[in-house]
Parts: sequence; C-alpha cells; structure tokens
Amino acid sequence: MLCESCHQKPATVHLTQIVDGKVEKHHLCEECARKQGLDVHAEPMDLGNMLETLKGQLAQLKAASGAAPEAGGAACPSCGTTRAEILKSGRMGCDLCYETFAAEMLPVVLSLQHADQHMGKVPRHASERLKTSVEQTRLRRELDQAVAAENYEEAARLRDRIKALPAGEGTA
Amino acid sequence: MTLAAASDSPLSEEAYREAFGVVLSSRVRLARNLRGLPFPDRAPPAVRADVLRQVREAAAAELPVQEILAETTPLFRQRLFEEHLISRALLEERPESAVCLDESRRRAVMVNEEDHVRLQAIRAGLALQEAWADANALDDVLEQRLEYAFSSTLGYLTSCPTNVGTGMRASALMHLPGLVLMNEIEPIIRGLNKIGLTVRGRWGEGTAALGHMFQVSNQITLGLPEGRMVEDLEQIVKELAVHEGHARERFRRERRRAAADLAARAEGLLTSARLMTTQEALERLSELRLGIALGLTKRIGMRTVDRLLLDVQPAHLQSLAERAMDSEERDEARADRLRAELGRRTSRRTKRNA
Repeated sequence: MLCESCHQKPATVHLTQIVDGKVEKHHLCEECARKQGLDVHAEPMDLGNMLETLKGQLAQLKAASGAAPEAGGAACPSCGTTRAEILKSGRMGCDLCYETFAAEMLPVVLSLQHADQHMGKVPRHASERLKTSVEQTRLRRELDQAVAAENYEEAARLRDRIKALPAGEGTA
Repeated sequence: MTLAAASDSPLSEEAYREAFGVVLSSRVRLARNLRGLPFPDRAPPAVRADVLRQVREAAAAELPVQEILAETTPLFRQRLFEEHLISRALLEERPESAVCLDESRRRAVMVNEEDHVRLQAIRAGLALQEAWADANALDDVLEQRLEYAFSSTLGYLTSCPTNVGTGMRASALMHLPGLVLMNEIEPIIRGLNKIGLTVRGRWGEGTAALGHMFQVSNQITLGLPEGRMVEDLEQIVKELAVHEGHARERFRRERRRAAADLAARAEGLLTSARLMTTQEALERLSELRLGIALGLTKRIGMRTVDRLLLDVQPAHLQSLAERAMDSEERDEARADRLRAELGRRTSRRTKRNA
C-alpha cells in the first residue's frame, strides 16, 4: 500500500481516528506522518504520552466547537468525576465515565491500543446479546482476514458460523 | 513469588538450569471492576468496604489466605511487595484494601488497588499459556459471584484506559546478562516497543535494570483474544531467550578473560564481604548466575542463587532474622547470609567454631 499523501513511498503508519463520531483510517509513510505532526515512534502505553494525547484531543475539540466545553464542568452522572479530573489523573471515575466521556476517550483508547473493539473473554453474567455481539465482530474480522489471505475454505467456515449465531446487536 | 516460583521446583541442577536459566517465571494479571460502582480511587469508604466484602467472599474458596492490608505492618507489606504479590500502591496504608492468596501463593487477588479486582497467576519458567489458563479459571470462579463492568466494544472497563479490553497483562521474568554485557539490549528493547511489548527492569528501570532482570509484557490490551496475545508474547519471549543464549555464548568465547573474571570476582565478593547493600548483592548474584550458566562456576547451584535473589531483599532479610534492622545491620546480615549460603564448607565450619 502506498502513502495516501505522497503516493510514492510505502505506507508504514496506519492511523485510525474518530472525527464527528465517524471512524477514519489513514495510511501514510513515515515522512508524511511526521510532516502531519504524528510522533511515529511514540511509546504507545506511556501515561505521560496518553495525557498529552488526551490534552491534544481536547484542545482540538475546543477549537472545533469554538467554546470551552468544560465551562459547565461536564461531570459523570454516576460518580461525579469531571473531565478536568480525568485529564489531571489519567484515570476514569467509574464504568459509566467511558460512556459519559466517549467523545474524548475513544480517540485516546484508539491511540493507546491501536484497536477499537474488544475480541476477548466475555463475562458469564453478560447478556446473550452482548456475547453474540462480541463473537460476531470477532468472526467477521477473522472472515475479512481469511478473504484477504485468499483462504476461502476458512472463510466459508467462518461465514457459516456467523450465520449460525442468534441475531445480535450487529457490529458495535 | 515471581522469583520463588522457580527455586521451589524439584528439578535436578542441570534440568533446573535448562528450564529456568533465562526465563524464571511467567505471570498473567487481569484487571476487573464491579459494575455500576465507582473505581477505588473515587469510591467512598462504604463502597470500598462493600467491594472488599464481595470480592473476599467470591474468592474465599480458592484463596483462603486473606490479609486486610491496613491491619498489617509495613514490613509485612514490604515482604509481599518483594514477592510481587502486591503493588507499590498497596505498600501505603490504603483502607479497605486486601490481598487474597492460595496456600502456594501462585494465585493472588488484590482488592481495591487501582481497580476493584486485580487477579494474578504465576508459573515457574516459560509457561505463559498455563499462567493464562490459571488466571482465566480463577476469573471464572470470581465471576460466579461478581458482576463485572463490561462493554461490548471496549471489553472489561478499567480505571486506566491502558488496561481496557482484556484487562490482561502477561509478562515473563527474564535474566538477560548476555544481551546487556554485549551491548545488544537497547536496540532489542526499542524493537520490542515497536511491536507493542514493554520491557522493564524487575528492579529499576530500562538498561539500568539491576541484576539484569527484565520483565517483558504486552502493552496492548484491546483488539485480540487473550489466547492470541499470550501466544504472541510467548513466541517473542522464546526468540529473545535464544538471542540471550547466543549473546552469552559470544561473551564467553569473545571475551573469555572478562567472563572468567566477572564470575570469579562475583563469587569472591559474595563469599568474602562483611557488608553488602541490596543493589550490590543483586548485581553480584546476577553475575554469579551467569557464571553458573556458562559453566565457569561449578561449585554453586543456580537454585541457591535464585532463592538468594529474594532472600537478600530488605523485608525478607528482616523476616528471616525476625527483627527490624537499620540499614547497616541489614547490610551485615545480608553479607553473613550470602557467605553462609555460598561460602565453602570449610569456611562455614570455621565461622561456626569462632
């Protein structure tokens, strides 16, 4: 795959970001990525980096909305943690904070984890719909990979397994 | 425990060196929180107390040894920390925090640390799949009684977004003196960082890692099933262990005199010194361990060295002596213990007669 900016060098930097609630994917060469201000060799899980990223994302949001979003002190309705507190500590207050501050948190999670979908274990207590949803997403991604690798036998098997799943919430 | 895991093993000295020479232990940790409750740092005491009660009950059958940390002494907590059973955060007196252990101390749950539940399983040597299986089974038992915070997109929800998804941190404790001494460790650490792994000193950070002991773990916790993450890490750890073996061999061949000197000097200091700091003890024990692995030191077993790596640490030393000691007393007791364990039989007899 060639860099989508210069169309000359191979794309080695793959960026996924959420803009206005839509997932955008960009494929760039190192040089173009650096020109766009991306720190290609940043260590992804460093807390300091994470906070910087979070601050950067917030600054962008502020600039985009033209207002200071924390003026009203947006707080989680469940635990009362404010956006400013999350920024300061790098910690969420409770499970609902992930929903309350989804607009800011999802880009941070993406930049830290280079992924946006859980593919692992699902708790026993989770609803059947939730279990099906995670399983369906996992199988669909495996199907995409199998097709990309031209492994059609495996792809057919995965397609049958997806069909056999009870109707779920669809891809999340 | 990460260190003790190997030295408890019944293997012969030769089999022990083969099994644990480079990878001492494997650990899998899972972060979990209870649904609808504030995370520990935000939770009022009553909520933390409720979490503590719920988790202790859920863990009671599997992990009967339960310690409320506020009711323990700082020395006791320090000892748990040296054994890798509690985190640095729990050294402080945090109310409503606890650790639950099984008799072997290979499985543990920290309650009300950064997350409500931090459970871990440890295995000797390179056994990440087995450690994951242990942690997963323990998690299954806990979730029969506990309802976890979980989202269909982000998985298990954790206090810090660096743990979200699987909540899993799998790590291998590796002794890498060959790569350090041959100046090959830094590019390797950078390379591993690029593919989503973290390398940390077990004691101290980065290349300043004391005693050449490193922990290699996954950075990314979201986007792959746990089994795949563990498999990928295990593969890298295996390759890294091969590199370490080659580096050790090159060190022995290409820097023959330096290698012989390093091992002999370490043995000399460990069996002669009258005062020794923790740092020096860990450094010399690491060099001695390398000497044993390279066949340069034949008199001392690797298992003895591994047990000492834990026993020379401050809280262990004081627990063994059954009394609190100041810094110089500890340095003396540490040197005494090292001479007693590593010295030649004759010198031990001399000391007893003296």
